[in-house]
Amino acid sequence: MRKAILALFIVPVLLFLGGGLCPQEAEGSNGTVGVEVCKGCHEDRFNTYMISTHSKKSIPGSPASQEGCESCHGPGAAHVEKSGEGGVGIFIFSKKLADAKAKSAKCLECHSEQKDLTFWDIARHKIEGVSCDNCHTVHSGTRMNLKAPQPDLCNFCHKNIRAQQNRTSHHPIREGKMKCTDCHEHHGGFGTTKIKASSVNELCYQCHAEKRGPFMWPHPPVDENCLTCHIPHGSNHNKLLNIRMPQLCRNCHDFTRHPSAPYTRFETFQGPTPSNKMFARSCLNCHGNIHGSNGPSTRGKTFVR
Amino acid sequence: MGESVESKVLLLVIILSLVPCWNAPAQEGTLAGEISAVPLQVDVRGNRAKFNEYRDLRNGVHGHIDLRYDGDRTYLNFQAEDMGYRDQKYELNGGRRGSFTFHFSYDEIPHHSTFGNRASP
Repeated sequence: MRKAILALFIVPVLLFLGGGLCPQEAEGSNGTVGVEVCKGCHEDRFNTYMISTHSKKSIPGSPASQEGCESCHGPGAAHVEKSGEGGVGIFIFSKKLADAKAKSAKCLECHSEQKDLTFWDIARHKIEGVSCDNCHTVHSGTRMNLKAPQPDLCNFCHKNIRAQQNRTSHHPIREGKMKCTDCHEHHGGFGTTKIKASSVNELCYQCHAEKRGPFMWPHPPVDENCLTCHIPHGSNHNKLLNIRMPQLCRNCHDFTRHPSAPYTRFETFQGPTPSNKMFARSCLNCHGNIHGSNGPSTRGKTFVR
Repeated sequence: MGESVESKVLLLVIILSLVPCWNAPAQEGTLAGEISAVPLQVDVRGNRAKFNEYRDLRNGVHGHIDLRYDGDRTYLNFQAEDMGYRDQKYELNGGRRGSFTFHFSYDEIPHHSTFGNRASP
């Protein structure tokens, strides 16, 4: 009797210990085949994966510290059983075989808590059907796993912006001194163009602080919006202007006070040595402090330098 | 000009002093990159100021460095472009994966409106 009671305690304990000591799941029991099997057929893809950050086992939660290739592509047993037929039994980041939502969801399984992805759900890129793999690739050793450096990556879709960048007056984007993400929040943000500031002016003031003021004599459109007069990505007029001067100024300033005609060296400062400073600057020849002035009396009021 | 040179030297000293402080534990890592010196001869027929509006393309040797150390836990990248010119750029970034990252950069952006203009009387 005592032996029977003892057995009632010992048997469950042995079963529990046995379950704990034995492997929870043998390799392949959840449909995975392991990295080496993938490498057997896809060595070129494996090599590009190995130079990426995702292949680092030291990063907690990285694919390498989980199931390797199958962390993103899903268990590969079914794929192997069907002789590795393209896209069969496995998740492929292909436009034909998976939609943008599904592809991004795969990445967000790990990256959803990333700080700069906070507004991804309201991002225009997401709404327009852009997925993570359109810009990033796991099979790369590039910084941020980008498929191409900026601005080429962005310009691949935003061709109108690329055209503006190649105009004569431009920000130093094509010289490599600025990049799209200096101003834009590509993973989503507030505002129509996802700029990295609460307003266009606040964004521009980050570099062009001298235009901020405060001025004794502010020019109202400057306070309203820099884009009233400027095109940020590029223009064929000086100083990134929307329209050539004096036509730009004429949009608001009519003939009531001042004939806003083009003032060139043919109208004034004539003589044996006509001033070359009158060429093509028109209104700004005299109203040099057009963004605002602290000059006393009427000199400042009319932004005369 | 003297202050500018001093600040550049100081920056370079700071960057270089960080490298030995890099506490890379014994681990497998790869060091890769390239160092290049490109002789350049520039012949501009037109508006020289517009051509060099945001850059400093002059006759001379333009040096570039791109070094990358990639370990399992740590990484360190150093890039230098157009060293000694007015559009020179230095960038140092690194970190310990899962712990921290750092990024130092120094980037000069010239803005040339005109060369050889007459001063106002």
